[in-house]
Amino acid sequence: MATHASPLSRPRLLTGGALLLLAVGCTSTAASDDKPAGAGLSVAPPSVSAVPTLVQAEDKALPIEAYLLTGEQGRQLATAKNALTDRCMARFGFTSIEPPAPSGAGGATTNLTQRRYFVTNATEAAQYGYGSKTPVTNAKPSAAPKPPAYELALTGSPNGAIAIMPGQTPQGGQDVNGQKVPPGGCLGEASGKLGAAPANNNGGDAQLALDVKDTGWKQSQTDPRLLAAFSAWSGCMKAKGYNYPTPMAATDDPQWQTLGASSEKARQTATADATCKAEHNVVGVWYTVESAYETALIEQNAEALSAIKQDIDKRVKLAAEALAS
Amino acid sequence: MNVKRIVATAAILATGLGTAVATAPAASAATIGTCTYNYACLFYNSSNYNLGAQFQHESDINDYAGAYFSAGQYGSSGAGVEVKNHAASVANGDRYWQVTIWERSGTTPWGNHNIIRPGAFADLGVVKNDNAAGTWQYAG
Repeated sequence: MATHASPLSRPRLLTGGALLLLAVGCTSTAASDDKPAGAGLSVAPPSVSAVPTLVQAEDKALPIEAYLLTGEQGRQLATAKNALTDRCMARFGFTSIEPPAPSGAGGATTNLTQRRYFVTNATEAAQYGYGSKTPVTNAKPSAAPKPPAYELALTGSPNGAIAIMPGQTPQGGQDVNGQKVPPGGCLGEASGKLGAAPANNNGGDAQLALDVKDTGWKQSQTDPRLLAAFSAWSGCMKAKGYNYPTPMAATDDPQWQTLGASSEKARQTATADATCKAEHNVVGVWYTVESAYETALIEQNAEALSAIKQDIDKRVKLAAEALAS
Repeated sequence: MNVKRIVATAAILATGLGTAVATAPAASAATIGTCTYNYACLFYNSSNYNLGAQFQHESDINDYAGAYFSAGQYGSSGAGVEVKNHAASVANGDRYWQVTIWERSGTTPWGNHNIIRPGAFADLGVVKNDNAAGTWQYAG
């Protein structure tokens, strides 16, 4: 993948990181990795033409979502991969011994703007505070131990190791029930047939698309327009008796760990939080500014992102063909 | 990198011997030192830096506090460092479930998140060191 760092920004980031590491070197705090992928993405504060008034943004899409797998696409790819994996395992004489799907299969789908701008619904806040009515999980069961031959055919590794990280070479070539195990086992074979490659993080989201999303998120929080909205929100909160500089500080207040995220005090604070957000259009500003950063980053990387979109289309088509065959 | 190694070593010394592992949530029963089928594997380093020490879990973790990276086949950089807010990359070794890495802790966390699809990988890029919780959703 191409390097996206500008000649000026990367050395400055590295120096800053090294200084930070030196500064914290005597404590138990450590920062992982000096030069992560995507650290070089950056755009100047983009212009924003109009800011809509929004109380919530959960029904809104962010621009980068066009270059990320949707929940439905993710399910399609997983379903096709599992069908191909099961067919491959059948060649070795195995039927699937995986845990059944949880009730309500399909699970709690998340979208990017769900819970993104923190507490925004005053009615729910009055009931749940900084907690939530629905956990975003289906309580994944522990996997039962599998027979060694099954695991070997599935993964290509005698100890069930998964070689899906960049630079890892999948194992394979062993003999199981008279059949040769493909590289990465049946999982590796199925992934390969569905276009999984380093360019799409082995069948997931392309790194550049993730980096655009995360850079937009980070940059939005240093934008003067959002900081002004935070400041207005903070003044509103203060008038109600709550002293926080930003919505994140209210969400992260350590007293919720002792009192509880849905305690009476948390419910009162969260209600004020959501009310002040609505009063000062924090969600409207945040969603608009973050979208503008993403749009600018998308324009900056248009060619690579166009290829990413084509790759998603290709993989979804391969999945549909696999399920139809 | 030398600086980093020193920091990692300091962190190991600071966390003490034994207590770190004993308090880790959802200790992995799988083969130590590999990223195993069914598990989400968090790495101290990004793929650009050979992943380093790892931590893996197969159930929800609502707060990575008290979990620690261990040395394994992908290296020892970061071994002994707390997982919370110190991961740089994630692999999902399950084939039915997607794992969501949240920047904040809780059963239903707030803020930005990254979904790692079944069998896929992701560098956390600029949100490395922002990992506070990891929850699973069925996607098969």
